[in-house]
Amino acid sequence: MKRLLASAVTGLIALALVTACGQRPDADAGAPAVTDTLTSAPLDAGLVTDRFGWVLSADAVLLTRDGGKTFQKTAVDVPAGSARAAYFTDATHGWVAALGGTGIAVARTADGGRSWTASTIPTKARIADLSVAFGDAKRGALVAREQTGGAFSVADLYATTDGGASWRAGTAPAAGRVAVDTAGRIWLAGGVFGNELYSSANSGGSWAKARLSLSDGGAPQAVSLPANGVVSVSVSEGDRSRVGLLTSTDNGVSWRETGAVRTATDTAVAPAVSVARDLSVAVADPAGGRLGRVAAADRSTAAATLKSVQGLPAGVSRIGMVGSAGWALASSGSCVGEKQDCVITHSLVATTDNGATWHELLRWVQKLA
Amino acid sequence: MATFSRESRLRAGLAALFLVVALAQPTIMVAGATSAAASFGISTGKGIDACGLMNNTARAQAFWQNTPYNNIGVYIGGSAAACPTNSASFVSSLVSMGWGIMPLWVGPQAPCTSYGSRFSSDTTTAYNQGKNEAIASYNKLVSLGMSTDNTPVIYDLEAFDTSNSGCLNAAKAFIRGWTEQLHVAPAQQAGVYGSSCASGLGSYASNSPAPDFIDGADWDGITSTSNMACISAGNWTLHQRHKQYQGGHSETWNGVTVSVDSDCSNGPVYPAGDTANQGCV
Repeated sequence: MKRLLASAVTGLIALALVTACGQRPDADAGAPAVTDTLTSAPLDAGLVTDRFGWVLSADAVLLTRDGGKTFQKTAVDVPAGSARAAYFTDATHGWVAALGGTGIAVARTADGGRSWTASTIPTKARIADLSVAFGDAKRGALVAREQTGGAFSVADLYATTDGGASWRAGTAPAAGRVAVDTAGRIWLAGGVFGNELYSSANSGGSWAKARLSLSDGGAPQAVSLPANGVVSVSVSEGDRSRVGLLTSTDNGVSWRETGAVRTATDTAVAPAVSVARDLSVAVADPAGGRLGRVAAADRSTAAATLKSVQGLPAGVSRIGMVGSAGWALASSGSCVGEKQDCVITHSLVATTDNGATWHELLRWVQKLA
Repeated sequence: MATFSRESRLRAGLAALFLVVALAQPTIMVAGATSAAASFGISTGKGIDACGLMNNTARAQAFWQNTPYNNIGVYIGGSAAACPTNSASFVSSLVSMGWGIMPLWVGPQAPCTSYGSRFSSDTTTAYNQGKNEAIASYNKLVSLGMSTDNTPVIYDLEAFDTSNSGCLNAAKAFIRGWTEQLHVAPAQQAGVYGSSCASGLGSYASNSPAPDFIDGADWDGITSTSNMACISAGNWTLHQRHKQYQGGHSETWNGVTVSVDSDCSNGPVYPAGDTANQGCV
């Protein structure tokens, strides 16, 4: 049975059942005066314009139309506590995908979240996670990761050409995150190690694995989806990582490293990188406190250095810049005692000065033990 | 419902079994195999498993120091293992840090799946294949320098169509072979990892012998090992459960980010357990 996410009663149930370990931000947690709209850990977030942005948790979709000064919960008709992925192509068109009892629930809006229309993709598979993306208001793709152990990466793919009203099943070469470019080509970054990149020009009918060439001849640890013509990869260099910036001259068949930023610590996951429309690149250091900015004209295989910035937390998983404004979504664990009193702090931070300083918009503290 | 205590397992005299095994499997015993004192303990703490941590001591250290985690799943091998360790020094480093290890063996999968490596749908063949996987896992324990006496070893059996009776019977035969062979002295403890509902996990309780413990994947976010969908509450009750309660997600500890699965234990780990109170029991 579907319920409205924004229902107060449902929200309380979701808080109790889904995020039993979580706690709302409070003054003791040291959070600034932020809104109290998060009731569970944020899963994803996006700054679409310098004023419109969204935050997804399992039981809520928050929208802002003032760059994050205020957030409003939006009522999305998907099963409570089951939202897993969201995507907005602009301030008008958006989608939320959720796990349902008999399938995958997808809600879509064409009026900036004021109203939503739901559809369901039936599946018998045991789905663990979702990724959804659109290239425009009509063409989109959804990857449903099946529940497996860590040694396997299995997923199902669904594609739409009518804005999400109907979905057609295709194949997926691996589980991972999905993107759709403006030509309608579907991209998938994932695999067991998260270091495989595939593309499909026929809605998942067939896939081509992209060739990723690094300047040192090595292999990437993890790869991100293409963004404005740039693929970023993590390359382990012992106790630190190199974020390689790869571009293609053959329409995405192969990608060659044409720039890099070295981080201060090691990371085994896809790097948090933003590629703006002017092709400038921002790379967040996994350890926090440092940001690498590379202008398009300055990109070279000589690795750029990170610069200290204020307020950027550790564990940034998403970063997006729109002009001088930007958002970063981060989570990082810490313990007070030996194997006890541990929490994971999830936070959404924003900048309005091109990344020099960041301030917290939202925080969620998840108790672990 | 029955429980399956370690005391009920098949045991035999070391000399007699060595003779039997030597005769039956003359080419696969590892020369110089050693047996140490009982090399396990019961953990009641939290853990993780992640390909991104394999063979990387620095990352393992980052996820040990000032974290809630006591246990780590270590892929020791198998034909379908994507990230096995071949490093005895890596295992030794984990033990030195204090980790409880959950050794995972990822061999052939059920015959009705599309995985590249599958065991037979013929139950007799599947049974023997299960035995062979157990022997191979034992040899890998030895090559990794791990003690083998009562060491827990977990077979990773992914989801399959359990409504396919032929496939389920083959899986049960395979797991019976796996369990029987691991009980050959120097015996190990036979575990099975899989989706608590979609890997036939609950049905292995009726095997003879049944697996000594299970590692059930039920990604409901609930840490309690007692709360595992499709598994009878009366089975595997004597510190015989691990639960994978959350699937792949990124976590950052000490500035290092890795994609991990989250586990909670009330069961055996190598080489020693803990007394953690983290909501797993």
